[in-house]
Amino acid sequence: MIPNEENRAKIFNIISSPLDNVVGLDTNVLLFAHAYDLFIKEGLVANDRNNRAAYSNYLDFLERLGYEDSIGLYSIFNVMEIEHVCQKLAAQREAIRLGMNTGDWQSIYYNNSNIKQESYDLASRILNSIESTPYLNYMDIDNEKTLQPIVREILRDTQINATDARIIAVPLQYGVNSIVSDDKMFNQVKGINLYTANPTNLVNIEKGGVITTFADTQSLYESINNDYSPSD
Amino acid sequence: MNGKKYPPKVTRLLERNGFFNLSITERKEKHKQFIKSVPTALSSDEKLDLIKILEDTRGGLLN
Repeated sequence: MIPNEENRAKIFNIISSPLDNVVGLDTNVLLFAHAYDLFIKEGLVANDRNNRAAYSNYLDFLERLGYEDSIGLYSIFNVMEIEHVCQKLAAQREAIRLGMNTGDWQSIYYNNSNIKQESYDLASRILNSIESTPYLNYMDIDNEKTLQPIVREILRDTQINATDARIIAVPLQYGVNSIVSDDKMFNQVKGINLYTANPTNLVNIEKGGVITTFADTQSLYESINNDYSPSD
Repeated sequence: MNGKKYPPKVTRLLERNGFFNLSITERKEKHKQFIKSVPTALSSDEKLDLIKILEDTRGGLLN
């Protein structure tokens, strides 16, 4: 079931909209920020205003966190996605080196033990980079028992996948209802403030830029109780 | 310290991570160094491959 307009995320531009004090990070933002400059340089996308907005601005967004003393949060689910993408990347590179099809990357990964170091190094460089700034902070899962009902509620109401539901649910446990993502499906999640450069979502940008309070988000969910209130 | 307020659980996390032990100038300088280092964290080839994966896996990085 796709939620109606009232039950969707509020959309904010990552550069020009008012910035919340704390924002949960989707993994694609961290990865785009680490690779964005080649999108344009290598001609993978046209060097026009829309593409610059869509891709390069995720690094600008991370920079903005520091300027505005706002905090970015990430969790084990982001780390898992980064490690997974790095395994896939290393396997696909190996497949190309061996003249093989890159499609079945998992068997290439499991059958070529020499590439695990490449994958490990790659993930380490990205994770070390993220860990080097005080403005990006790793958050533990606050309470696994109470995380699951929030995840289930998000999965019941939207078409986003199980990992992304957790990427949204963990910040909600910390009293944080703002998320930055390039994923267009995140617009289906009720009660969140969605910062994005995805042009599909920006069509529905929030006019006037009023950030949804956490109390308002809480009232939309059956499973977010007072334990998660910012005033606890 | 500036007037920015964070939810209590985030504040406790930041305390544990030493965020408030740094002056605003110090933490902004560290962040500036991070932003400067991001474009060089990966090689050009690694970035190209990463971009392809990101483009191929829109809607689910664990595919």
